[in-house]
Amino acid sequence: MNDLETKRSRLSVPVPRGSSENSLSRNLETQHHSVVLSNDLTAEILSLLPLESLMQLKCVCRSWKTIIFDPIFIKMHLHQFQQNKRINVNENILKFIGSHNGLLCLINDSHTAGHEQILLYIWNPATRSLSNEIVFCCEEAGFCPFYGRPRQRSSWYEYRRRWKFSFCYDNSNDTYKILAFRLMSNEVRLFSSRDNIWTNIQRLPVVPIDYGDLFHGHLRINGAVCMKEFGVQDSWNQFLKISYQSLPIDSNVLIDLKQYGSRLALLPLCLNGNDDTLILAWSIDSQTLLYNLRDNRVEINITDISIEIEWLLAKDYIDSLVLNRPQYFNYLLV
Amino acid sequence: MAAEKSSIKIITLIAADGSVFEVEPNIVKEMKTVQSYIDELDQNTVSIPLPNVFGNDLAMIIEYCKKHASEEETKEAKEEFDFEFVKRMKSDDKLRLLQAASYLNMESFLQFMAKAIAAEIENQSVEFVRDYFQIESDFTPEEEAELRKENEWAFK
Repeated sequence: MNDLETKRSRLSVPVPRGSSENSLSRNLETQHHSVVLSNDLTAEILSLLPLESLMQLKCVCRSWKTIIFDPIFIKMHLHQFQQNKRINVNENILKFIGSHNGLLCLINDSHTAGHEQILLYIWNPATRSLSNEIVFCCEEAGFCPFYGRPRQRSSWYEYRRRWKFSFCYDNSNDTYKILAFRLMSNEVRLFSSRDNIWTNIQRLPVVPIDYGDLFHGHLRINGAVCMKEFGVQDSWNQFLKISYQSLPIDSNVLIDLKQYGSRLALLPLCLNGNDDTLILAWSIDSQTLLYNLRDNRVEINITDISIEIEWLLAKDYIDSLVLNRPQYFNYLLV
Repeated sequence: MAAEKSSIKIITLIAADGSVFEVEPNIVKEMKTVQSYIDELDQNTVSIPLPNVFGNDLAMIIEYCKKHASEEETKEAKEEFDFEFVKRMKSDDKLRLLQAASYLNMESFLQFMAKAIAAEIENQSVEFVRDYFQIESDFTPEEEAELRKENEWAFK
């Protein structure tokens, strides 16, 4: 019954009760001009609108603006639009590390080897706001950030000594995290939006690959291991394993894997809504693959896009209202 | 369901203006507010006052429920009905039905109305939307200008 009372009290229409004929007809006449929606119902409607509309409609009145920037509404909106993921293709100046809930994590790539700081940013392209810089300090001079790659040594050596970054969202406590790792020293550091600091965590249990690296018998996929609990080493889980046999590789080529290996790479781009199809970037012929998780079937994704896309550098992205300023990180994402 | 437990044959719904609607239990299944009344009472016939819903609106909601509860209707026919259903309504009708859906706690009908309204205001100007919802701006002209400027890309 309490529930019912609440439902009733949510309504703000004037309620005619046991009224005489006259007052009743007056009510019926006026009702057409006095529909005032509760904030809950307004939010229900607004959550169905795309972000461009919302950015415009925040000017309707104060209460709409409050609704649109309410953390609970932001989550509701995000949930509605979670299905409309877009794949975003890499930009040049700030390199794109990853995206969650409409926030992009970017790295300043203009630093050349020898610099001791890497700058990272969180950007919300839909609301056009950029976070303060997040500074990553490397004690050792001569490191080589992300894509900058003087190739005087073997690419494997370069790959091992480079710091690599990955952007994560921990939905257990609504925190955005940046994971930095370097194979050579087997270091892993984690930046958390909750306390805005980098902390050292245990090393990675498996070697995440850059494209072009190959392991025996199975491809290990960058990002295909997931940590169930942040900072707990035992919680790393293998998410999936794709056998060579299921890939569209010519069987003659399979015999000489080592030779082919330097060109073979798979990178997960996104998982569809039902969690049953994974889209993977495939280094051969700039294609993408559809991987069906239910029956381990692989299909080449034929797209009719005529431009060549560097799928291996692509990340998924959705519009959102999520705020990226560090001071909001702590409390706005309830 | 409660309707199966007891032997209720007919539900009487009384709207705010006193108009009376007699419906079968399967029609009110989606109205959780009504359902909770029925669950509490254990009688053959129940009459339920709905002081927050006007007769015209209740008639439309019942029409919608009847169509959607019917097993004979095809999916296409239901979609066609939905389309016509919102087409003949004015904006304030839609807003009132949304309120009624909320009061009656009808989850999918509420979603349906919210979508219909959202579709109408999507990509519309601030002025159109204010008019639609009968909202007066409470921003000062300076504040509004500032907000719009901040957001010029959205007004393109």
